[in-house]
Amino acid sequence: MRNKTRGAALRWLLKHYLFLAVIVFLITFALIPMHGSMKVHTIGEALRDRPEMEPILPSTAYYFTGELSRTFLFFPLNLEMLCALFGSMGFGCALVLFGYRFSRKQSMMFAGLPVTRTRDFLLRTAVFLILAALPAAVCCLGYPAIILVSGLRDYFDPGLYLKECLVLMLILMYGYAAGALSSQLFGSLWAAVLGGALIIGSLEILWFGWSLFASCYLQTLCFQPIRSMISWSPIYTLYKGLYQVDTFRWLPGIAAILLLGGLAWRASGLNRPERAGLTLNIPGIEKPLLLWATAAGGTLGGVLFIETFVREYSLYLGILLGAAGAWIVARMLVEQNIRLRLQGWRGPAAALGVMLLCCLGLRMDVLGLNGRMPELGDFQAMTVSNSYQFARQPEKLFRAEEKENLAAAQEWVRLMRDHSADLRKETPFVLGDYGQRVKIRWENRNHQILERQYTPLEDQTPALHALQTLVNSQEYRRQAAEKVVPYAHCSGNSILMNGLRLQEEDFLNLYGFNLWSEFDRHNSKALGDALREDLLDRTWEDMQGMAVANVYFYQIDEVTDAYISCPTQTVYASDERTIRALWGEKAETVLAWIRGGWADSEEILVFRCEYELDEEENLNLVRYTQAASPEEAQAWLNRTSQCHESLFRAPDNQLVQIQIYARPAVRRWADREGMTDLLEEEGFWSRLPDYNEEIYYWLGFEERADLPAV
Amino acid sequence: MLQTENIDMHFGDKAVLKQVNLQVEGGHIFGLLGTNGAGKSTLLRIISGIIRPVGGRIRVNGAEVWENPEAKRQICYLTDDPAFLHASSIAQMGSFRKAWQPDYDLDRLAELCERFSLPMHEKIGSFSKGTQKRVQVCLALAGRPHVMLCDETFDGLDPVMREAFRRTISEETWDRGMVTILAGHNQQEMEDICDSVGFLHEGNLLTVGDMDTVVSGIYRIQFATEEPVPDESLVSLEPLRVQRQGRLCVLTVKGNREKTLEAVKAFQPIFSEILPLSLEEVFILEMEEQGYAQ
Repeated sequence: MRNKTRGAALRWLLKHYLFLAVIVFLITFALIPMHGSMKVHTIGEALRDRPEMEPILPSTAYYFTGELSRTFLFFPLNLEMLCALFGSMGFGCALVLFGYRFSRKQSMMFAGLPVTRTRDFLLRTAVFLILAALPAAVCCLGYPAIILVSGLRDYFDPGLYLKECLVLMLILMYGYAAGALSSQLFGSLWAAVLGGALIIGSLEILWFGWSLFASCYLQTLCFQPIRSMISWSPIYTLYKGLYQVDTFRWLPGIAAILLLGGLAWRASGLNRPERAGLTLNIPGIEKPLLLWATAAGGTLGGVLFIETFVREYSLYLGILLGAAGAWIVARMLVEQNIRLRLQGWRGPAAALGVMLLCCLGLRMDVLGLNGRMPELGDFQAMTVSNSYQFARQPEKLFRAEEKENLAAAQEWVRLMRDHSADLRKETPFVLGDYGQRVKIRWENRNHQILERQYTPLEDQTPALHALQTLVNSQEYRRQAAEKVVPYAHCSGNSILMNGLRLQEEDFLNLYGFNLWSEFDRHNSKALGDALREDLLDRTWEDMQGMAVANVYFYQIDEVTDAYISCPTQTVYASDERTIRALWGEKAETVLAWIRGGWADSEEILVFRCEYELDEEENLNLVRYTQAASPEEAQAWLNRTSQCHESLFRAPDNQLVQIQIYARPAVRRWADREGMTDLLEEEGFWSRLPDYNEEIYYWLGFEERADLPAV
Repeated sequence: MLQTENIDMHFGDKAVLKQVNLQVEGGHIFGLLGTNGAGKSTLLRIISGIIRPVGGRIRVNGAEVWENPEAKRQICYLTDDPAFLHASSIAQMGSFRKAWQPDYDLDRLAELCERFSLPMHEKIGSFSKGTQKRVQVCLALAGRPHVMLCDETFDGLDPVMREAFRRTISEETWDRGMVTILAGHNQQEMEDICDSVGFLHEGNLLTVGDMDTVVSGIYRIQFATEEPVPDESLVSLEPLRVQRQGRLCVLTVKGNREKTLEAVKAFQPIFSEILPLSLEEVFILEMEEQGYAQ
């Protein structure tokens, strides 16, 4: 009898909700690339008509792949919309299947049926799987079936597509599980929708918000609030799964579906039909819900306020207002009355107090996380990465494993840690992009990781010995050489010659050859080989000289012709092999130029100019001096950084620049401005800085403040 | 047999039912009378397994009702406000019932609809409230329940339909040994068809018994004497009400009639007689005794 009843009841439900299958099928049909499947005939004809021996170009294959992946939508569909649509579809299916719970009469009628409530829940879930999940899956599978039957396997990746479909189905089921739980907990449609948003979004808000708050105070910890959500958040892992199917983590999404579904099933047994129409369907959950809403609202308020006002006080204000507002609104919704009685405020007030205390605890770093670092001997490897490339520091990433290097790196990191601590005393709260950071990752013998990030030292002097030890080690040099991309295309305009003290046009006029070099895939390999050899010989002292050039390497995607950037490589004067690879037989000229020959030319004039900031923050030229000799000019240049965007500055109200003028450039300016007579004036050439705003033909280098004054 | 054992029910802090004990045999019609908000509908919903009581049990033929599909299949609850599937007809509602109850008799449903002039394939939502109640009763009877719970079911029906449904339910009860509970405010109707009755007030089931016993439990005795009997002399009779018109004295009394007559004889009345009360009057007096609406 029981089986007979179950079968009849299921059949009735399937018939009653059959419209769901139609709706889900149509929506899925519109979202998957079914429009592309209409192109199979056209593409098939094109393939048949081409000459037999003619190869199919990568670009043609790419075009075919694109054509086959079109949907019927008139607007471009991004993955966020796809994720939202499938999730909403699942949520909506749950609201439809359990919608009777929102009407007291309907709820009582179904509660009087000879079926247990949990059995009813399972029957309706079976209806969802049959009428929603199955049509969606069939629709998704129809597309690859058409492609494969048409023999266009080469232009379609079935494995990737099927994985994407599986992710979409998980998103659909996640939406259903959340909607089913909402329908059991809440007694009206609007409450179920809002409650569903709270169920789905509140965990994400809490995690993201507190990660953000912690990152503002615990500045040495490698927090990235969004990234920290990815590893555990079911919504984010499912959403990211559409972007990166191969690295998709299945566990959070499946675990969340099972958890929410299990909770919904459990709640179905506690459901009270007499409470249909009220906000909460299950008595006793009002207080936990209000506390939860208070916590989520306070966190959201904190996030919004600090993102808007970017001040520490705004965090506390945001938490306070967000918590209070969320509690008030939640009370109104639960009691279905905008007139609020101020009762039951103690719990939410305590929740607010806990949040504020947590913020204070972060500010005071009660756990001492900011200063924590392992002792030498407790770890076996240390990896350093630099979010910003600058002179006089190890470049990019290196990994120390040798004992001596570990000691040196640890000493350097300790100085950075202490420096960061001093900065935090002035500015304990920092939001957003911190600018330059050095990230350290310690690994112990059990492969456990500790990560920290520090502000780099403004004055490298205390760390000089440690840095020298590191840079001069074979371990560091070998790793630097390995970073040079083995094969790349290096375009001619990718070499920036900051260190050559002249603009390209002037160099060409003086020396008769073009500094720009054209590199294709053949001679860029030679350039790469030369650079690797130079890196294996490079020392710390070599890096104290001025950088000659920054070389940008690229790789080209053969299918899409897109450029993929590779790490930039800096070339120093000591990198003779690289310089020869860059300029060939002209290399000696360039090397001579770099090593001081530039200043020896009568065509080059060098001035040391001192500026001061006035009250309106305008730079005013105070005094200038012309280099008496090429040696003096070279000595001035040795005191400067290598680029305009220097980290090293003179005292705040002063700026010292070394300005280099080329006579040909000045003559061109005079010709253009009709001021050639000016060139004949006595003393004109020694007064060039007076005209620098007009001439604009100089390169300026700011003098470093960390070196003794001239 | 239907049995309720120590049923307690709370909604929030408010106690709605307190230790309600009830037993109704098959083939009996039980009338449940109560004041407004006494808990009649709540009790019926608990009996039908829609609501779970805080304490106590409901049994139908020995089987507990709560979350027991087999027991619930034997029960049919007719609400005061009928509920149907959206935009459904009687035929569709019959199919709905059949899906959850395989032994539901669709032929019987058709027969009842013909008898009570109800169109099978029109939308129920277009019917009047009274007609919807007729539909509700037909849908219930077609399922041949063992327990039928009627919550103000006949309110809104015209006298002809009222009489027809009363007769049908009475026949079903007696012929099939059904347990029928009628809850409502129409005491006259209950007095006509119920075998037993109970009074529910503020969650307490005050009076339960067969109709004759309950109705005869309170009565009026009127007598006339040469001289008016002083009030102190009447105290021993514990009258619920005392009315005087000159030498005529009318007492409303609860208790044994013979003893009351014997006590009145002591006053040497010129005449005395017992006047029976209606169920409505008995109900009012019982509720007044509880302090209701005073």
